[in-house]
Parts: sequence; structure tokens; C-alpha cells
Amino acid sequence: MNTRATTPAPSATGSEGDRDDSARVWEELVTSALLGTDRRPPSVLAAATVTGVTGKGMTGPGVTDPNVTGPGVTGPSGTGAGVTGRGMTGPSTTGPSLTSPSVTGPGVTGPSVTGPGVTGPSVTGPGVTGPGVTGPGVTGLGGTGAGVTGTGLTGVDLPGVLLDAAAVHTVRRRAGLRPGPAAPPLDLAPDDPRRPLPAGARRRLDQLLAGRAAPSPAAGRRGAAPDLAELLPQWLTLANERGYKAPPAALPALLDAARARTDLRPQALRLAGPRGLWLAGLNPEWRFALRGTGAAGRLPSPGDAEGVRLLWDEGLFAERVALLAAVRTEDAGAGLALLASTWPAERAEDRLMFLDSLRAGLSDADEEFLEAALADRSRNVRATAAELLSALPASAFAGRMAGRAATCVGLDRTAETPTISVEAPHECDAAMQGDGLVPTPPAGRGERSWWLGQLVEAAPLSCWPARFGGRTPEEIVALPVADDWQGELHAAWCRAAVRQRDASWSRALLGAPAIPPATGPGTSSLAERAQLLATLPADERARWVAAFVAAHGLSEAFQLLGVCAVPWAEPLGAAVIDALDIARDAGSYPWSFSGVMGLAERCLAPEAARQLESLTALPDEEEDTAPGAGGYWSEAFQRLVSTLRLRAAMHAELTETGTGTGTGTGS
Amino acid sequence: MNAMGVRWTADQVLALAPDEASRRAGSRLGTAGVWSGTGCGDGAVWGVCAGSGGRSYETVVDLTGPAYTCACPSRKFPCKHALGLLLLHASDGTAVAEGTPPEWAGPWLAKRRERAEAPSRPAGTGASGATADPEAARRRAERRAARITAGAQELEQRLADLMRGGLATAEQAGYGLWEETAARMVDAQAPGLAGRVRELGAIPGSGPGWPVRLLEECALTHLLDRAWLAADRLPADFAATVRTRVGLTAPADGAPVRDHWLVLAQYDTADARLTTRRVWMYGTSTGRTALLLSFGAAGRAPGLALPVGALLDGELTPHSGAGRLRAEPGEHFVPVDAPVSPPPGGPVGEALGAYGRALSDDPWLDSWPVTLRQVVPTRAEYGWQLADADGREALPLTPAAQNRPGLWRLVALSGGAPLTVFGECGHRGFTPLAAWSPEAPAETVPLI
Repeated sequence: MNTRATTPAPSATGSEGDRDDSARVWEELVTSALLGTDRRPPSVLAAATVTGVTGKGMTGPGVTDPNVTGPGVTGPSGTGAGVTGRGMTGPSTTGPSLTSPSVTGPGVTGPSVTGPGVTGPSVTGPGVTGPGVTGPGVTGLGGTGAGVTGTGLTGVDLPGVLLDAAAVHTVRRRAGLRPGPAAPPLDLAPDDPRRPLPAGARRRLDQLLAGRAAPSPAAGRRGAAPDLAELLPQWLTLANERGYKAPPAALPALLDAARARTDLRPQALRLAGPRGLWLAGLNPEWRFALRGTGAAGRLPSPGDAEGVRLLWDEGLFAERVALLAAVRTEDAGAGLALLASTWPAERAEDRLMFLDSLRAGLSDADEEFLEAALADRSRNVRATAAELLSALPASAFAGRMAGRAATCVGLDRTAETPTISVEAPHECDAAMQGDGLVPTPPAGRGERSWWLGQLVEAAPLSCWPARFGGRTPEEIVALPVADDWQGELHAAWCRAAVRQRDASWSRALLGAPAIPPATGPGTSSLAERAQLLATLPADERARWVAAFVAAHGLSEAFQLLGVCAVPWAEPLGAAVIDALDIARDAGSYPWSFSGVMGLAERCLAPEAARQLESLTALPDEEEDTAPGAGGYWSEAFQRLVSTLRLRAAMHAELTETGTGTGTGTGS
Repeated sequence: MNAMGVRWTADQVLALAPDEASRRAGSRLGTAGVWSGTGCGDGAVWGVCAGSGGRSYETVVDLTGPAYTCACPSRKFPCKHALGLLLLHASDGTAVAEGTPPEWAGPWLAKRRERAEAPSRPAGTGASGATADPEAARRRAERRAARITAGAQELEQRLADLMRGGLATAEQAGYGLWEETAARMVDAQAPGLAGRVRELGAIPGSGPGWPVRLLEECALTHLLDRAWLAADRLPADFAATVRTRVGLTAPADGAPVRDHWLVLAQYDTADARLTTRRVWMYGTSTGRTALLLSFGAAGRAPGLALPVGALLDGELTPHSGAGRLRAEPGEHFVPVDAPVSPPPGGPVGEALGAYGRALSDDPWLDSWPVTLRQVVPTRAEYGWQLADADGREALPLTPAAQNRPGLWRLVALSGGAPLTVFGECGHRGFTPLAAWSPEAPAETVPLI
């Protein structure tokens, strides 16, 4: 091989001129090729030949040029050797920052090109000489070259000469490429002190992220394999709880997942951590991560008074909302003070959002501020302030509402049995409007019942036992209501129980789970029931829904199941499995229960897999069942079982702390 | 060295998938619920997958090949069942128990083992081709060479016409002219020339500076024509390179190299006719880099699939000529349970130097496999580049690599800090294919 030691000294002379020359020659070649040699003969070839540049290459000396000592320096066409021997490299052909030697160095063969990596071949260039040079083809070409000089471009194979020259130039340029200047480095990604995922969990994450983009299968028929996309949220939550960080190589897939599914964002971004945000800052597609919840990673800590102040005064709206939420969670009083400091200057829609963040950590300490907000210019702000105040039963606002409600709803002592009588308000006066009541009902509702509903909803539930002679919520709900007001009144109590998170009233309004929904004491709306259930403790919720499912089956249970804590507590899981079994025996198809099935896959305790095992068998087809249903059910149960197993495996992988941290600290 | 028991990782298994759809389908099947009768042992895994509609498929994977067989009618290779089975085997230590192959798996495995036991390259088999009729074979070769020569001359004529008329006309002529010339080269049995011509046809109007690129490629095609026409006067090695470039397959007749091979990268490129799979391997003790090529008809996955990042013990037989990188895999690859470390490498300047040196053996090379050490991905105005950690010199990424998802894996893995990257370095820039971070140097992160 050629080495730098053989780099010849001669070309050290006039390297600057070489560079200009070679660039000019290449430009000329390109122009000639572009326009056609007929129209524009490559004059440089002739000119170069006249100046004797090619002469050296075409005749003996060129072939035996001392610097071409290595074997394998080849090139069937020798004519160009001399022509491009001076480094014919066009800047226009170079890559964005790949520079050719004639650009970075003072010449192809110049001794000053002594940087690392500039070795013989790239200097002398392959294709300069070779067997072809001595071959007959070359002598022929050499002859044409001579013809060029001699006869002035007539009767010559100009295209061949041009291509010869261009070929040598091209190989030379490629062989002599040098790196370009480095751009300024990126900022280093911030350090993430969390521990890395155990190996098993890493593989699981890759699998879940790879399965995320799977197209949802045709309706009804989902096969026996688990739906991986549905398991990703659980996995993320669990991994975050255990304090793991995402493996760097998985960050792009994780950010893509969060981009596609907003419900994944908070957990995915938390797992991605500071390096995820660093990465998102480089790719406009992931800009979402820098907004809203994503920006939480860059918020100053709530204790950093100066940083909080600065961001609150100068931050973007989303950053300020996130900041207020963070401060409020840390110290409710400080959050309120922060908001109050700039309250009058905020825009109406911003005020609404900020006010909403007070919902977290709401206490009597907020009453004064909310009371003031009742006089706000914006009606939506007033309504929200009223809603928040009504969740504070001890507030003056609640007292006013209790007074108003008591004048409308009372016990009719004249009736034979105790009955609730209702006298809806006749007007919605200024004071009522000042307390957030909306005077105009939506289309289709009477004014008076609309006002009544709002009053009862905003009144503290604690005022009713006194109003009804010390009766318990159950007893009050059981009382008959005069003049068809029952529906209106109970619905308003439901809203109040949800808003005030009152478990005893919720319990009373839900009634016994076994009572058919349509004839229950409180509400028959499943959506309202689900909301009421959410105010009960988790185990009581599970027991209530289990009893409901046992009594009424699954067809109405979907919303109720959705508010139960995951994984489902024992009585609930068993009840759902039994109900599915019953539904199968009754001859329905599994896709009638696809919603519940999907929930069960995500929410059943993994231990339930054992109970389900027997159901995956393919039953014999009986006459009275729906055709093929047995096979579909077996498939659905298989999927349920395999999903539960997968979840169990996920948990196990994320729990193997011994190995994960052991290797981390050991090495 | 009991390599039979080595489990593959899910990453490695997923890297075997012929396409994204199989990867997803395989992921869904990688759970215990759908499998029965699973077992593993003697370097193989088997199981019965409950397919949709009550059908079930027997799947067997020989990990030493790797080779797959499945009762399903899928034409993908490996099929989703084989992938699912491997994922199950990879993810869950308890799901697949040790055992002896059942009767539906035994014969196939036994046959594969038998073939592996047989001498890998008996001297006698070489004669099978030669015995046919050496005289006829020689005549066939001569006829083909004559056709290619005619083709090369015709191509020379077309290039000369193009130069006379000017490249500016090439843009107006459109793609049809090139297609026709390419078809003529196919008729001349010179697929290498045909491929070059097709690429020439794609250059006109392909963005700023296309006339320069077209002139460069025309000139190199001209160089190849001339080299072919003078092939008998070239040194043997270079002549072999020229023949391979023109499209005559060089025989894999080098001495087989046995080593622990690290699978660096595997990726497919497809055109209307053919899917080409490239697998880069690095021999950890020989220091040799090898390229395995495998082909599939359009839309079908090529047969060869190796898990990226795995260390495999086996033989590769190099081809002669062209760059001397291409090799044929031996019959048998056994996973090795040994720590993996990236190939040695250097700064970006050295990578370009290596490409330049390689050009002296094969001036038609578009790129050369290199490993960059201590490089950092950074962003210049024109796009991403890999810069030396000292911040002086940098290699731009190729335009294609700028838009791949793998770029972001590279950036994420780096976090702004230096790392080791393997890829192809050429005149268009650098294509990153695999990377290793200093924190986990044993883990090969595929970038494509």
C-alpha cells in the first residue's frame, strides 16, 4: 500500500494554483457534459494538454510515477491520469461537509495534508494508473489525447475523453474525502438518578411498544392473543411507581406512543424523564412533551420561591397552570396566595382555569377568595366559584344555599304518611344569581325546576337531617315525594353527594344493589350511579358492584365496573367471571360483552387465571346455542387468560428488585 | 461451551421478523395462553399454536441455524408463529420447559442435525458441478461473456451519445430511455450494468446538483465498461471485482473462516423485483467484517435471518473479488454465551481513510463498513452528523439516514455524550447501523 512516506514532494509547489486549476477544470467538464460535447467541447482538456499536464500522465513517466507504488492502484483508462492528477475536485460535488482534499488541504498531494487518515491511496488516488495504462486501450486513448493537442479537437472521441477525465476525478474525489468541521455539540442530557429497568421488564417494554401500533382487529373478532396496547398504561404506571427510568434506546418509541395517545402522556413522559424531555426538545414531532404536563419536569420546585415567582410572572399559560397545580399540591395556602397575587390582572379564560386548580386541596381557608370570585365579571368564573364553595359545607355560601333550599323542600306534616313536599322557587333573584345560579334553563326544562335543581345541588347535604326531623339519609331518600318532584329532587341530591364526596348520602341514593335499577330509590341513571360509587371506599365499591352483577348480569355493568379499583377485589372478580359463564351458557355471543371483556382483561386480578382455565375449553355444540358461539367464547376466554398471565409476568418482571439493583450497584 | 441453552432476547427475536406486520403479529403470539405442548432442548424450541378458528399449527425452531418450520401456510419467513414461540421462549423462563422433541418435531430436527454432522464441505461435492461437462460450461461462459461485451459496447455508445447531446437533455428524455437501456443490459445478461443504468435513470431532476452526480455516475459506469472490455489484461483480483460489478456472481471459494461472529446489523432493501437483505457480521478473533447477502422475490422476506447483537459460533466462506467482504454463511450457527463488545474503531477521519483505501481495490464502492469510536451525534445547519468527541471533525449522515427512526435511537442513546457506532461510510456520508453506549457496551442497539 502507498503510505505517506511515498508522498512525492514535487506537487508541493504551486498547490494553490492546483486547487483553482482543478476546480476550474472540473467545472468545465460538468458544463461540457451538461451542454453536450458537440455544442461545447471540453476546452480544458485541450488546454490542459497544451500546458503539458496530461503529457506526463499519458506517456511513460506518468505510468511509472514514483508515488504510484502500491499494488492495486488501477484504472483502465490512463489518459485522465495526468489530467486529474492535480486533484480535480469540484466543490459543487462535495457533500454538505465532506470536503475534498483540494478544498481542505492545499493540494491533493501537498505535504501539508498530513492530518490523520490521509494516506497514500487517498492522496495519489486509485484509478490513476494501472494495467490499463500499459494496455492497448490506453495507448489508443493516449493517441487521442495527442490528437487533441495536435489537431485542435477535430475527429476526436470527445465523450470518451470527457468520461475518462470525469471517472478519474470522481474516484479521486471520493478517495480523498476529508471530514468536515464539527457542528457545536448538543447540550448533555441531564442525569437521571432513577434506576434502570431489569432486563425482563426492558424486553417487555419493547414488546408493548412494538405492539402498540397494531391495527385494531376487525370488530368482535379479536383472536386469542392479548391486546398489548391496552396493557401499556398499566405497565407505565407500575414502572413509575417502582421508580424506574426508561432505557435510552426506547425513548423514541415511548415518545411516539405518548404522541399518539394523550391518555398515555403523563405516565410515558414521567418514565421518559429528563432525557426524554431533552430528546423531545430536538424533534419538533415531540414538541407536545414540552407543553403542559410535560413541562412539569422543568418546573422549579415549589419551595424555590424565586423560581416560582419568576415563572408565574413570565411563564406561558400552560407552564403557569402546571406551576400552580404543583405549588397547590405542595402547600395549598401558598398556591392560593400565588393566584391571589395576580388575580385581577388575569384574563377571564385564564381565571377560569386557575380557579379550577383550587379544586385540589380545597379547604375553608379558600372561602374568602372564592366568595370574592362570586362577584367576578365572567359568568363561568362565578359558576365555578359557586361550585367550589358548595363543596365547603361550613361556608357562608353553603349557609345561604341551605336556607334557600330549606324554604323549598320540607316535610308535609299534613299528609297521613310523612311525605316530602316541594315548592320550587318562583323567581331567580339577583342574590341567587350572585351566588352562581344560572337563571336561564336549557331548552326543554321548566324554569322553576331548573332553579330548584341548582339550589338543592349547591346546598350542603348536612342540612337535610335537621330539616327532616333527624332522619338518616337512607330514611330521607325512602320518603315519598309529593307531586312528581321525586326525580328532580333525587337527581339534585345525587349531584350534591358527588360534588361533596358524601359517602353516606351516596350509599343511601345507590340503594341496595339487588334492587332492579329502574325501581331503585335514588337514581336509575348508570352514569350517576357510577359517580356515586366513586365516592365510596374501594372495597365497598367492589362489593356493591359484585352484588349488582350477580343480580342483574353484565349488560348494564360496564360503567360501574369502570370505577372499581384495579385489580378487582375478590368478590367482584368472581362475580364477573360467573356472569360471563352464565352469558355463555345462555347462548349469546362474546362480542356482546366485548366492553366488559376488555375491562376484565385489564382489571381482573392475575390470580383469577386459574379460575378461568376451565372455561377456555371448547364446549360441545348444543342444539339450542347460537352456532359457533362456543368456539368464539373459548377464544375470548383464552385471550382473557393469556392477558392475565401476561400481566402477572409484567408485575413479576418489575418486582425483581434483587437482580435489577444488585447488578446496578455491584458494577 | 454449552451454547445450546442460550436464550435469545426479545429484541433479537424481533430483529428476525421479516417485516413490521410479522413483528406485531409475533408479539401478540408471544404469550403462554395460545401455546400448548411447548418444549425446548438440544438447541431447539417447539410448540403448538392455537390459531384462529380452532386450527392449530405445529412450530419448530432450530436455534442453531436458525431455521424454522411451521405447519401454517404463511409465506413469511420466519412466520409469526415461529416468532411468537421464540418470544415466549425469550420472555418467560417457565413457559417452555426442557424436554425431548415430540414426534412431529423430531424427524425435521434429526434431519437438520444429520446435515450439520456431515462434513461441512466435502471435497467431492465441488466436482458435482464440474463433472457435468466442463467443455459445455466453458462454452456457456464464453457466450455469456460475449453478450456482456456487446452490452458494454452498446452502453458505451449510449453514454457517448449522452455526452455529445448533453446531460441537460437527460432530464427531458425521462425515465423511459433509461428503462429501455436497462432492459438491453438485462438481455445482455449483465445485471450489474442494468442496475447501474436504472440508478442513472433516477438521478436526473433528483435535486440540486444532479448533473454533477449524473456525470460522476456516468463516468464510473464508463470506467466499468472499459474495465470489462480490458478485463483479460487486468490483475486477477481486480478482474474478479470487475466481473462481480458487471453482474457475474463470484464463487464463494475462499477458505472458510471459523470465528465467534457478532451480528452487527440486518436490514432489507427492496425494489420492484427483489428484496435484498444485508447482514453485517464481525469476527471477534479474526477482526474480519463480513457481509452476508440474501435475496427474496419481491414482497417476500429473504431466507436468512440472524438476531442482531447475538454472538454466533460458525463458519463464513468469503467470495472472491469486489471488496472481499461478501461471504456465505455456513450451515450451522451456535449462539455463544460470552460477553459482547463492539468492534474496534477510530475517529471519523480514519473512517474516510478506510473508504478511500477500499476504493483502490474497488473504485465502484459506494460505502465501506467502519466503526466509529468516541463520536457524538450533533446537528449542523444541513442535518445530523457524527462528530469526534474532541469537536474538531465530523461526518455527515446520509440523506436517507437523516429521516430514519433509528436516528432518534442513536441520539437518545448518546444523550449528547460520546458512543461507539458501526455503519457504512461512503461518499454520500455515513449510515449508522448499530450503536453501543459506554454504560452498556455489551448491548448492541440496532439503528435500522
